[in-house]
Amino acid sequence: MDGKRKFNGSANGQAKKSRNYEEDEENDFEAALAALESQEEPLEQTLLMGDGPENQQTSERWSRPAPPKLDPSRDNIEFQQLDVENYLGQPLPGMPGAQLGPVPVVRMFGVTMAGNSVCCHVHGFCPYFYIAAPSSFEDRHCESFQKSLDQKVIADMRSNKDNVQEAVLLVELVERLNIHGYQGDEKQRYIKITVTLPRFVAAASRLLKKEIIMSEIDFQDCRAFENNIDFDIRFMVDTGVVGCNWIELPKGEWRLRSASSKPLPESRCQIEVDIAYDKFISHEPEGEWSKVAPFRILSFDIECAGRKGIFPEAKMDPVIQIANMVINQGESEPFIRNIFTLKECAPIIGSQVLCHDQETQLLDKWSSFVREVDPDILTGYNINNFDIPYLINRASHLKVKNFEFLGRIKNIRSVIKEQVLQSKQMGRRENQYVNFEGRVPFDLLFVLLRDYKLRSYTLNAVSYHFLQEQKEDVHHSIITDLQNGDEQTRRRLAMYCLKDAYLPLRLLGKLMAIVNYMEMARVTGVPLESLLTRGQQIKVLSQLLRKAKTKGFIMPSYTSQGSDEQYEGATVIEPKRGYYADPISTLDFASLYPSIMMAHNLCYTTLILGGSKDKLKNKGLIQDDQVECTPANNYFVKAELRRGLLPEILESLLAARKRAKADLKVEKDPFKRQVLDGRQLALKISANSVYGFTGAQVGKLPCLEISGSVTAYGRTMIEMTKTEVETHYTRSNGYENDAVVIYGDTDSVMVNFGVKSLERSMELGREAAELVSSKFVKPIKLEFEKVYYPYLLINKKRYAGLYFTRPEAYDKMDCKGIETVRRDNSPLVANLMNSCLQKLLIERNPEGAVDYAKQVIADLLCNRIDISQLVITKELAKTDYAAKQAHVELAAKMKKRDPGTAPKLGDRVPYVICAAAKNTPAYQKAEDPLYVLENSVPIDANYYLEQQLSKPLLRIFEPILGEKAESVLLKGEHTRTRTVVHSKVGGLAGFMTRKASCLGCKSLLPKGYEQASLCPHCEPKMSELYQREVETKRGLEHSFSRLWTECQRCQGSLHEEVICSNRDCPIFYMRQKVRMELGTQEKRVQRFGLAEW
Amino acid sequence: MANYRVKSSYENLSGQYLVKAYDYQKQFCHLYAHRLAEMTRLLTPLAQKKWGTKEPIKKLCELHAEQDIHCILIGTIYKHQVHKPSILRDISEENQLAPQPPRQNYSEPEDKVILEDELQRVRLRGEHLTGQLMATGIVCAIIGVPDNDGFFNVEDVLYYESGPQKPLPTRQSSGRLLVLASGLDQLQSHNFADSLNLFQYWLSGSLDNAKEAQSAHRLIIAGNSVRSSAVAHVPTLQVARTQANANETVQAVQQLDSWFAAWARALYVDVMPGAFDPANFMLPQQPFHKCMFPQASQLASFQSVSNPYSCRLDDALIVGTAGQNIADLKRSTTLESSLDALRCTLTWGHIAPTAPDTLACYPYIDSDPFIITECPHIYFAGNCDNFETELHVGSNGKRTRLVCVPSFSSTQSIAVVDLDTLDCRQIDFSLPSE
Repeated sequence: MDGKRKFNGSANGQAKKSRNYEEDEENDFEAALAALESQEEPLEQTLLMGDGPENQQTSERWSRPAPPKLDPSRDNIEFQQLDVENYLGQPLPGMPGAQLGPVPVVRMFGVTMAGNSVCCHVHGFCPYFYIAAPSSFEDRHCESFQKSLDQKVIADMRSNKDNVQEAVLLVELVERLNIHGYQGDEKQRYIKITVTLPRFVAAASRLLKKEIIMSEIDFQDCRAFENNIDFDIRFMVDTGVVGCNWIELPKGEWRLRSASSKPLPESRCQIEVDIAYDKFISHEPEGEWSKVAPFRILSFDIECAGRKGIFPEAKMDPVIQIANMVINQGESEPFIRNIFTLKECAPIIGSQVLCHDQETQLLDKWSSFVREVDPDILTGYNINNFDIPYLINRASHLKVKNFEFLGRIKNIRSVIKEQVLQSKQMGRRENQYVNFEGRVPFDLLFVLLRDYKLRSYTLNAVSYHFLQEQKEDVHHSIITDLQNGDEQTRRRLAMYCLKDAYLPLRLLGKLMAIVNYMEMARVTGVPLESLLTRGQQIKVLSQLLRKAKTKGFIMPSYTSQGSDEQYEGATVIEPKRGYYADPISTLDFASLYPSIMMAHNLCYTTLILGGSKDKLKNKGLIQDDQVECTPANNYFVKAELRRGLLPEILESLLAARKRAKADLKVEKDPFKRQVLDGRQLALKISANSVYGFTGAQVGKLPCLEISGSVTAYGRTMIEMTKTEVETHYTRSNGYENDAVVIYGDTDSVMVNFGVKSLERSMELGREAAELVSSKFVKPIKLEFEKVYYPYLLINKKRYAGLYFTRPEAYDKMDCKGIETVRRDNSPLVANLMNSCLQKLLIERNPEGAVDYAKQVIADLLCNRIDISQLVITKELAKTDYAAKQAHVELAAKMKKRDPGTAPKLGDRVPYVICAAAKNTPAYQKAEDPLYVLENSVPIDANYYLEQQLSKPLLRIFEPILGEKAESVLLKGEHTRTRTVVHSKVGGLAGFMTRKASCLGCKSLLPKGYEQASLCPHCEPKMSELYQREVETKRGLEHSFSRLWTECQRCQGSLHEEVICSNRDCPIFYMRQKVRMELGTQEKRVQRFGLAEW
Repeated sequence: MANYRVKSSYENLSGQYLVKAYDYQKQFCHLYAHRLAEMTRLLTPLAQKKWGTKEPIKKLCELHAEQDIHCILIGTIYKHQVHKPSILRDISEENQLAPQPPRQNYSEPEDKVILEDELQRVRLRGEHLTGQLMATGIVCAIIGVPDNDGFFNVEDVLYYESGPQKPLPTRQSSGRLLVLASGLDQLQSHNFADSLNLFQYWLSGSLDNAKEAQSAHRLIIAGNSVRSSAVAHVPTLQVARTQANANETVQAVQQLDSWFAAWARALYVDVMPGAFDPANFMLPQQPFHKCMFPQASQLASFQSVSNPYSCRLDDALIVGTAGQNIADLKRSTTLESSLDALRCTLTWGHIAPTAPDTLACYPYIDSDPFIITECPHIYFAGNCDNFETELHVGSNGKRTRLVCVPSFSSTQSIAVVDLDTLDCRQIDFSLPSE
């Protein structure tokens, strides 16, 4: 249903993939950095327990294939794990770890290659952290320290409902290296404190700071290490488990749970086993183990019967339909297609229709359907914030027993929690989160919000953007009517609902979202779900911890001080603005920031902390030639002394990417290609986010010395490239012309070699890239990538050009930072800009572009522009804005006219700006486009010209026309003629009477001619005038047929009326308009009399 | 003065094609719905006759529970074609790089054939079903079995075949000829002025053909008399603007008036509007307004008629169009010749099945004038690339003379049909120098 798509991103800017997937993402590094500054508020770990129902087996089609008979002593189990989580359980005899309960148990959920679901309990892994050991602390203190701390922690508990008997399990004195700052290779002493439960990590570190644990030794100043790591991540790092990898349980090591075993099975999975944390094999996702299990994805969509004018509320409005599509990963079509309906619904071929008399029955059956199908991934559009919470609230309102048991653990209910995610990338979002133990909610909307910048995030807009298909949109006021009709109208609704369940699957497939996210989880080592619910930092953290562990490094915990300390960003060479008709070669640094970190060995472990340089030198740990001073005046030791961890991580990421790309080249199987491509993308993004991690000031371990040095190197390299190119490519060196660097930004440099041919500019570009590369430290490499020809340089980060990678033909038109598609702009702006740029760049016709812009302006002033081009859309987020807003005022106005169809909170309100008396504020001039069409309300052309078109137009034409751009474009001859439309409403319209006028000369018809079409003067020209009217009618008839047949096709039925009200569709207003105009035109033709013979 | 050489009775049967009151508030679904209802009524007895009454005629919505049931379905064909012209795509491409030139033919082997009844759709497949020869909008009866994948396996297809035919008395040729011309394209007539003059001489019998001219009884001009190609369209952001070339057209119409007046002095002349003529765009196209032909309209032997046009000359039923239906059908199918397309529409029992889907037509709400309920004796389409003809023998010995009337502007030729024997031939007026 459309009402629920209230989740609109704050995105503005061109409809393009976000920086994450953009080719030139290095350009956006500040932004990427900012995106990393995220605050993650952990979820509350409360669980609602209860006795869930047993799984039912009602249908062969629904249930998973029967699991094989397994013998723990003879069979290995291999499964791909999709979810890792932990819970408090009782210790199992024979397993390592604490023997007195409760203990943390890790649960891994997954699927075998045969499609059987697996729940694996992993026992014996215990949480721990470190503190720096005070110098007087020795091995012999360990035991008393453990006892004392144990007592303190137990005493600290407010209540002990779990009957905890043991808190601190073990205290050891270990030798480790602090990751932060070079201190030589000699290890320091740390106390490793192992506790029984994850929550005691925080408690113990707090008590250590606050209280006296041992009278003879003071721990209050001891820095804590790694006490802020999630237990799940800790487990995964220590056991080598990465997100979505394959787990092998060797025979003889695991125990099977069954109806007769102890403990009994807890999950709804087909295979449930126990194993010790050090007995299973975690396979690296390489080679054979890069395969993907056939996991089940359930996509669903619900419809609710709302009341007129009110957004559906779970307490009031019934759920009337739930459409479901289940697909096996890797297959192209869903193998289960069904719809649960309230009241009878006519059958649908190819889909199962399950009718229910009672809503409670509908909900109950759906919930058992979910349990039976046992999906691994739940998807849909905005399910996290609408469908799932709505269903749960509705079921609890109706007291549907057992509905909430949707997860894989039998006795855990799915409940709604509020989650706040604050990140610069996505802004502050309040999301609802529902737990589904063992199933991953994978909301397509979240994927899109994260990875793509779009003009609109409605499912209509998204499907048009990615699939070039419009989606029929049934207005929510109609949904209730359809439900209250007969079984055929409900079937109509069901078709619509099924489509909404199917589209997310198609989009996920098209965007390869699941494969890409899975590869990202594998590369960065975090669970799949955290990629959608958490920020970027956890990904780098997971990799850093893994690397650090192998080398004996540990990470200090860092508490954010929220400092405002800033460092200088990337450099921009002042652009030499203009329209370049000659080829402009572009030199790019490949993976610039990762390369810098590798080349200069920038890392936490190589950083010489402020002021400690002399101390280290005096100790003889470093010599001057082993230290490098960065342009930001920080010191790092060179690789020969110690290779940094970050460079190593980056190296392996980039090497893995190279491998994936090489494999991709030879791989033929399309599905494996998808996996590989997803993998190389994930690797690229991960490499780039390492830099961001070091700069994230509210992060786990910010280090401005690193991030500041990276950008500083970047700056000098851009400058150096400019100097090298401009001194080498000169006439005096025998080249055609003196090369000029016209612009440079972050990691690319645009050079005008002053040559005319594409071939030559490419040749010089390649040569220059090699020349400059040779002067940099490896692996920094300048690459020649493309030539812009022609090139329009408007300003910093604003340019457009025709993009050539080979001389034969251009690849695309590349526009950067030209606000063609801002959400608060009308489509007219984007389309006009686009056309002008095409004329400038592709047709190389600046005059043509100017003429075109003038023509459109003239058309605008003469009211010849289609209204859909002028529609501005804004979301009605709340009704009490401080300042008056056009769309809010309009929504109020529309509510007075018809409360049934007026926009509700969360709806998007389309409007156009209409002409009004002078000085009327803009917010009062907004009007419903349909109302404007029906009543011929005149448009405020000036508003569109001055507020919407003028700035972007001047921006692109100033480099061509210079100062006179404004006078040429906005004040020229073409702006003199204006057409004023007479409104049928308001003002004097009510007092006017219409008198017949001559169709030729528009004069009033004289007496005796009232019924005629023409005045006596025009009568001789009758044939001509008649043909003119017929010609207009022809055009309108042509449009009418094309528009209405398109809608008939789009809705997928020839015999039923089109009821779509998708206002995002470009033809929505056109079809309405042509209908009216054709009626009017027909009346004019009729005045000539019927063509009777 | 006109000799109106042979006496015969004439009845204009085009009343169904005249639209008295236009209403554009309606959608196209009503036309489809009516077509399906009407054709179902016509097809049901035929289906029972062909396949027996043992096989049930089912609605799609009755099929769910009892799969694998062998049954008959009646429904409208919808062909899902990826490259079907789409205004949505045009709009989104309008501002893009090089606009795609419109495809001459958008039929693909991957086209999906779907049958839709009042409520539901089902994909069809079967050996007897060549999707590329089917078109959206055909109503037919099929027999076969549904399967689990949501397909219906078609074993046989039944079309209406244009209904019964009134027998034509077998006569020796009395030499009465029906003259069929099209595509006079007055705007381009300077390219073939001599041929046009020759045609005029031929009509008046001054080419040593007095006898032949004597027998020429009626001339039907099947469209595109004013122009025979579309006006180039420049993509813009604005709504349709009136054409600036009206003046040219007005002159061409004046010129035509003189020609028609001259010809109508020799025989009956019926002028149909065509796809590019100054008439309305949607089918059925209404007769030209009298004011356009002040001279010719004075003569009782001259009239402008609708497109499609249908009349009875003595016993012979004549039905024809200006050719839009055939051209549109050729674009969406692999039918190669106009003759094949023309024959198909006769078999399907519908003049223009692709209307309204890809062929513009008026949104009728309670009728479909394009269903052929009485099989014509002469069935023609104007503005074909070249002359083609065939005496089609249908079921029950129905005989129909199919004529693809050549476009005069491209072939400088016309077609003549003997109204008694239904013999048909081409007369070529092209001159070597042209």
